[in-house]
Amino acid sequence: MIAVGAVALFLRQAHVQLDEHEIWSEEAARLERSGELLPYTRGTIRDATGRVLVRDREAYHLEFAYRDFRRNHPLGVVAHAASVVLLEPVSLVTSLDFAEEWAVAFAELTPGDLYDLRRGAGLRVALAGLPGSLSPDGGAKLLAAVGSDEERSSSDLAGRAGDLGYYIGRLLQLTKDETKALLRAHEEEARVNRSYLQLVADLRRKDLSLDLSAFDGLNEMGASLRAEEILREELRTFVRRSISDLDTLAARMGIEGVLSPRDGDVPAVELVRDLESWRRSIENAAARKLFREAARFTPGRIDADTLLELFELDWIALYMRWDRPRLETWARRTRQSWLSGWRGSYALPRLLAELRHSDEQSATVERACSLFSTMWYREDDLSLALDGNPTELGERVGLAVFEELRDIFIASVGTAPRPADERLPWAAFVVAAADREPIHGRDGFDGKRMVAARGAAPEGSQSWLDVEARLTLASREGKPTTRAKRWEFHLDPGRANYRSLEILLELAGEVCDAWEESFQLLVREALADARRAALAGQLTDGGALRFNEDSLDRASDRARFILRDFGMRRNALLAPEGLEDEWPSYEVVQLLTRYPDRFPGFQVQDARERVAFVRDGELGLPGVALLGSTMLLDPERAQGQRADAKRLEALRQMGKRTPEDDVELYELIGRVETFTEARGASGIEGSFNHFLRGQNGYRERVGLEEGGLEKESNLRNVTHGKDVGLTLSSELQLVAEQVLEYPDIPVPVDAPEKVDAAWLADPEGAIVIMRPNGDLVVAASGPAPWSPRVSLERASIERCLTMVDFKPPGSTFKPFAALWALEKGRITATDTFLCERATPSDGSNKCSYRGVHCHTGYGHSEHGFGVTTPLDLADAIHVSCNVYFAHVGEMLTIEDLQGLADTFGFGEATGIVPEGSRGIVEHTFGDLFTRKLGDKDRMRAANGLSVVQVTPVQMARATAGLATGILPSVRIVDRIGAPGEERPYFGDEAEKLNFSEANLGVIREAMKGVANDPTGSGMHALSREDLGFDVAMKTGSADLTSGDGTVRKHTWVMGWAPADDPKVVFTFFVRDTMATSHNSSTYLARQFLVHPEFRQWLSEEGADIDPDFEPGPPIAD
Amino acid sequence: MKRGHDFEYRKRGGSQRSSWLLPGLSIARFDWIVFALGLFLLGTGLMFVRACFDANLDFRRPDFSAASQFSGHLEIVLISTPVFLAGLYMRPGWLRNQSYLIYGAGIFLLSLVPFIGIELNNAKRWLETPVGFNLQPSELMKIALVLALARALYRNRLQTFKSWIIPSCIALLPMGMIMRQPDLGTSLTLIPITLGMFYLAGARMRIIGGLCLLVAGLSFVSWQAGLVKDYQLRRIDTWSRVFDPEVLISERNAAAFHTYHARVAIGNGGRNGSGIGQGIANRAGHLPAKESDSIWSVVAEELGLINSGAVLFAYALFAMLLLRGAGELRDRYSRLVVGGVGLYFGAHFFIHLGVNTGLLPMTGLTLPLFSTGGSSMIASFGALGIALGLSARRVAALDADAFR
Repeated sequence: MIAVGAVALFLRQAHVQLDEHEIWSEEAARLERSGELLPYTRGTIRDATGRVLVRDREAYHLEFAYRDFRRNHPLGVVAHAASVVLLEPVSLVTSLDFAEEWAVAFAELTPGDLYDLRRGAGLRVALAGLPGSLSPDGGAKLLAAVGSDEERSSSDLAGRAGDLGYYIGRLLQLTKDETKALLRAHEEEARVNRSYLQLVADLRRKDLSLDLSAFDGLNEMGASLRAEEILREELRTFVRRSISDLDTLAARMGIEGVLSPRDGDVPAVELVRDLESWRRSIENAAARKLFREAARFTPGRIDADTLLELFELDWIALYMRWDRPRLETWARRTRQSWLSGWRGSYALPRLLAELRHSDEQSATVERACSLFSTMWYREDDLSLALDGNPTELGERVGLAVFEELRDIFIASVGTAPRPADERLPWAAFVVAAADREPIHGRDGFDGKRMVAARGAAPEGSQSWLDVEARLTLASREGKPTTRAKRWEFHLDPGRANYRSLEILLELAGEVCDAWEESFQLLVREALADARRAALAGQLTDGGALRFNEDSLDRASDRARFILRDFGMRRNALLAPEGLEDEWPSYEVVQLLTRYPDRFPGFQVQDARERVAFVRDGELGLPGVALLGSTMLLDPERAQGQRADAKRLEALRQMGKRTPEDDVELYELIGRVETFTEARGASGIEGSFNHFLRGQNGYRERVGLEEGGLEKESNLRNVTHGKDVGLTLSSELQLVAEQVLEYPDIPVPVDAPEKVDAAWLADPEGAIVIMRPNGDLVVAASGPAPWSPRVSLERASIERCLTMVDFKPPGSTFKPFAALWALEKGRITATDTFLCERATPSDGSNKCSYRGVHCHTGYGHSEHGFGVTTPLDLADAIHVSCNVYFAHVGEMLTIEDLQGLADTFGFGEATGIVPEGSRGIVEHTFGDLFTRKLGDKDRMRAANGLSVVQVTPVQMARATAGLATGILPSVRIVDRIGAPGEERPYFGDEAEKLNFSEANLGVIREAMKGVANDPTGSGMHALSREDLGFDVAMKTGSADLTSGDGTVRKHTWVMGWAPADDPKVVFTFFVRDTMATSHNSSTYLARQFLVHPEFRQWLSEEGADIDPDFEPGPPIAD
Repeated sequence: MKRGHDFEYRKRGGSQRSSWLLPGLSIARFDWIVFALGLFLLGTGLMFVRACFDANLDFRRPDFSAASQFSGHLEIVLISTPVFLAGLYMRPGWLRNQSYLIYGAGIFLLSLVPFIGIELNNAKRWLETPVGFNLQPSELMKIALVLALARALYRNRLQTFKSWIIPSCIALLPMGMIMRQPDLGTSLTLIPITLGMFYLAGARMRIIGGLCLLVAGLSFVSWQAGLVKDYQLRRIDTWSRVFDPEVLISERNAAAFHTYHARVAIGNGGRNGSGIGQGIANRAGHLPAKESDSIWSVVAEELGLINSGAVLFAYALFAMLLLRGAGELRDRYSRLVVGGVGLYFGAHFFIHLGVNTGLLPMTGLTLPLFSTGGSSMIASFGALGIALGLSARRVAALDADAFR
C-alpha cells in the first residue's frame, strides 16, 4: 500500500511539476516580478516670444519609511527595544528624553540575559524615566517588566529576545564580521555573562578599531575595561549626535522648537511627534489588514462600539503590542476612515459617475439605489456595478459582513438577510425592480405607486417609510420635496452646473448614512443573538465572540508579512503649516541627500510639479484664466477608463506574456492615466492636453528587492509631452490686464456723471488683440485672477470667449450690416436718411425711426437754426446713427441677417478650440437670427441690439474679415514642440469673403473716419493725434437695462491699425457700465494703443508708425 | 509469559554478536538500512531547514535570530538523540509492561493542556518546558498510542466484537482529546495509525474497509447535519475546487493562500529544481510554515521532480522497511510496535506530501525527521529508536505472514 501510495504521490507531484510547470513557473515569475511606471514630463507652455509660462518642474518630495527609521536610527531602536521589554508601546517622544541612558542599558545586557528571556526567565534592565524604574543614577538594575505568565508564550519570548538582540546590534553598529563573531560566541556559550558592550569592545580592541594608545600601561583586564568605557562613550555620542541631527533637520524644516527642561529649545520634539503619528497610522493600517485577513472584511465596516464590544480583538493587540485604549482609538479611527475614505471618496463618487454617465435615458431611483446598495454587498457586486453591469438587486447574495460572520467565530451567527428582507432599507426596490415599472423617472416621482407596490409599512418597524423617503429623495405624500427636486435637477446633464457633483454627493451621502444606520443595527442584532446563544468557551472573558482557529490561522500566516510590508511603506512628509510653497526647502533636501546615513527613514524622492512662472513685478501669470489648470484623475474620469485600467492591471500581473500581450500592455501604458498624473482640466491645458500629455514608460524588474537585481528591462520608454507655443504675447497680455485693472478714463469736469465711477472702482471687461490672420496676441479678461479685487467665483470667468450674460455688440455691428446692405444692393453709399426730431416717423416726439431711437436725442441731421442735413452711409458710421441703420435694417431680410452672421462668423466657433477637445470654453449662439424677426427686430439687429450677441473674440475675427476681406480662423497655438524642434500648428483654413473691394473700401474709409472725422465717435480719444497712427474703428454701446434714469450697457470699440495697412485687429469691451463708449471703451482702447509695449510690438509687426510720437494724457470730452 | 519471551529471545538470539556500540543488540540484526535511510532523511531535512533559515537571513533581517533558530533546531536534534538511544535500548518486555503507563502519561499530559497549556490562535496544544521548546503532548501521544495499541493487541486478533472494544477506546480517547484542543490534523493522523495497527493485529480487511466506510459515512452525516464547522467545510470545499490551477490562482489571496504558494513552489521546481535555497518559496518567503508544515514544497521545488522523487521513494522505502522489518519479528508485541512506528512515519509521509501536493485538504502536519518542531522531532527519534531497537532484538518470524 505504501508503495502504491508513494507512486500516487509521485505521479501527482509529476503532474504538478511537469504538466503544470508552465503555469506555476509563470506564477513564480509573477511573484518575483515588479513593474515600475516611468512618468513623463508634461509639455511646457510658452508665449509667442518663447517665454515659459507653465511647465513641469523637477521637484522633491520628502518621504518617510518608518521601518528604516526604527531599524537604523538610535531613537527608533531604543523606543522599539523598550517596547519589546515593557510589552507596551513606548513612544518616540518618551524615548527622546532618555535615549542615551536606554541605549547604554540595552548594550549592557548580556547574551545570557537574552538566553534567559528566550526561556521565560525574565529580564532585568533599568530604563530611566519609566514607571517602576530607578533613575538613571540609581545604580541598580530593576526588573522593568517581562509580562505576565499568560503572555510568555515561548515563540513570543523567543521572538522578542531575537528582536532585542537585533536592536542591540543596531545600537552598537555591528559589522557583518562582528555579528558573525558574536554569533559564534553566542553558540559556543549559551550563557555568556559578559555584556554586548564588553564583547564588542573586545572585538574592536583586537581589530585595532579602538585606539590602542588608550591601553598603554594597562594589563589585559584594564585594557578591556578601558575599551568598554570608550565604546560606551561612543555609543552615547552616537545617540546624542543622531538626536542632534534630528534637531538640525527639524530646524531646517522650519519646525518651531519645543522648550525642554533638559535641553532648552528642541525642534526635534515636534518632528518626532509627526513621526510618531505616522507610526501610528501605519500601525493602524497594518492592524486593519490583520483583521481583514481573519474576518475577510475590513473592520471599518462595523461601528466602532460594536467592534469593540462584540469582536475578540485581543489577538490584534497582542500582534501590535497595543493596550486597550490604543485598540479603541484604532477601532474608531478605522471606522471614520472607512466612512470618509472608502465610501465617501472611493465608492460613492464612482457609483455616482456611473449613474450620471449611464447610457440609459432615465437614471431612475431604482437604478440609483441598485447601484448604491452594491456598497453593502460583495466586492464583486460593486465591481460589476462600476463595470456597468450591476447585479439585479433581488438576485444578490453575499451581504457584506453577514456572509463572513457565519464563518469566522467559534459561535454560530445567523444567516444573512436576503435582499427582499424588509429589515434592509433597500428592500422596497427589490419589489419595484421586479415590477420593472420605474416608479421614479424623468416624469417625476409617483410616491403613491411606490407605497402601493410596497404595501403597508410593517407595524412597529423602524420607520422604513422615512428611510425610503430619504432614499428616494421624495416625500411620503408622493410630492417631490426640495431634496428630490435638487436631485433631479443636478442629475440632468442639461441642467447640471459646476456644483452639481458636490450636491449629488451630499444627497447620496445622506441616503447612505440612513442605510448604514439600518445596516449597523442589523449587524449588532445578529451578533448580540449569537452572543446570547454562545456556549462557554465561545466567548472571551469580556463577552466578545471569539474567532475560530481557521480565521486566526489566516491572520497568523500573514502577520509577519503584513507587519513588515506596512512598515516598509513610504508616506509623504507633508509641509508644516505655512511652509507649503517652499516644501521641501533646498536646505532640507541638501541635508538629507548629503548625509543619508544620518537620517535613516527619510528619503528624498524625485517628483514633478506643474508650476507657473511669474516674473518679478507680476502679480500673477498673464493670461492665466486662458491657460487653465490641471487636475489629478477624478472619479468620473477614473470610471471612464476603468475597463482599460483593469486590463492593464491584469497584464501587469501576468507572469508570462505573449508578444501580443506586450503590445497591448504597451498601448495601455500610454493610454491609461495614472492617479498621480496631471491632466489638463481647463483652458489651454485642457484643449491641448493631447499635445502636452506624454506617455508613461514602463520598466520591469525580475528579482526581489532585497535579493539583488536579476534582470531589468524597459518595456516602454517614456515619451515626454510636447511643448505648446502660444501666439499670445505675455508682455502685451500683462499690459492689457493692467489696463483693465487700472483704467485711465478722464472725468469731464462739467459732466462727471458721464463716467461711471462705480465701474471705475470695480472695472470689468475684455481686450482682444489679434493679428489679421487670426493669431490671438492678447485675450485679457478683467479683473484678472491675480487682481486683489477678484473673488473666487469671478476669478474663473474668462470674458473674451464667453458670455456671462447677454452681450449685444451695439453699434460695432453697423459696419457689417452696412457692408451686407451695400453688397446686396439694399442701399448705396450715397443713399441718405434724415435723423431729426422734427420728423419723428413713429409719431412720438423723440428722434427715432419706427421705435428705434437715436442716442443723441436731438438727431444727427439737425445742426441748429433749422439746418438739417441728411446722412449718407459714411456720415451714419461716423456718428453711429441708429435711425439710419434702422432704415438699413428695415431693408434687410432675415436671410440677409443670417447670411451676414454666417459670413462673419457671429455666434459661431472661431476655431480657437480644437475640435473635440475640452478645455477652452467658447460660447456660440446657434440660434442667432433663426427665430422669426419682425421689422423692428431687424431694425434693432442692424444696430447690433436685442437680437444679436457676440463674444469679443468673435467680434475681433469678424473685424479682421472686414479689414482684410479674409475671415481668419482664430488660433492661440502656432507651434508644437520644444524650441529648435518646433513644427507649426495650423488652425482651420481662412475664408475669402465675397465682397467687392469697392464696398469694402467704403466701409473701411468710413471706419477710418470714426477716429479722424470731426464727427467721428472715436475722434476724441483715438485720432491720429492721439495715437500717432491711424485706426479704422467703430464704437458701440448696447443698452441692457434702464430705470431710475440710468441705463446700464456694455460698450465696445473694435477696429484695426494702421487703418490702411492692417497689422492688428482689436476689440475693447467694457461690461456693465452706465457710461457710453465715448466715456469708457474708447479711453480704454486709447490707454492700450498708446502703451509703449504695444507701439513697440506694432512696429515690429511692420506697421509704419512714428517712433518719436509722445502721446499726451487723455482729455475728457 | 514475560520471562518466556525473554528466554526465547536469549535462546534464539544468543548466537548473535553484540558490541560496545549496540550493547544488548545484535549488530547483524540491526537494521542498518533503515538507520541509514533515517540518517539520510534527517540530513536532507537539516539541509533544507538550514536553507530556509539562511534565506530568512538573506532576505529579511540580518540579525542573530535566524541563525539562532537553526541552532535551536540543531539543539532539538541533539536533545532528541538521547531519546533515540533510549528507545534503542528498550527491551520489548519492559516496554510492553510500561505501555499503558506511557499511554497514561500521554493522556495525563493531554489532559493538562486545557488547564496549563499555552494558547496560540485560539488553540491550546502546548505545554511550556524549561528546555527551550514547548512540548506538544499530542505528538508524543502518537507513539504512546502505538505502544498502548500494541499492548492491547498483542494477544488480541480482533476476531470478536468484544475484542474491539478496548483497542477502540484506547484510540478514541486521545483522538477526542486532541480534537478538542482543537487539532483536527493531528487527530486525523491517528486514524490511519489505528486502523493500520488493527490490520496488523489481524482484523479482517473487510471490517477495516467497513470502518473506513463508517468514518466516511459519519463524516458525511456530520457534514449534512451541520456538525462540521463551516471553516472546516470551506477547507474541503476549497480543496475540491483548487485542483484547477485557474481557480487556485483566482483564490490565491483568499482561502487558498497557503495551497497556492505550496503549489507555486512545487510546480516551479519542474524537472530539475531551482537549487538549494534558490526556490521561490525561500526567495519570496510567502509560503507559510515553510520550515515545518510546508517543508516538502521547499524540497520538491529546490530538488526538482527527479531528485525529490528519489527522496520521496527513500521515505516510502523507509516506512516500508520498517513495516517489512516488523513482519519479520516473531514477538507479536514488537511486531505491532515496529509496524505502528512504520505506520506513524507512513501516515505523516502521506498526509504531509498529500497536503503539499494538493491531494489532500490543507492541514498543518510536520514531516518527521525533516520539519522543525521539538515535540515532533523527539517523538520521531523516540519512535525510530524503539523500532530499530526492537528489530535488532528480533527473532525471525515463523512464516511469511507473520502478522497473521
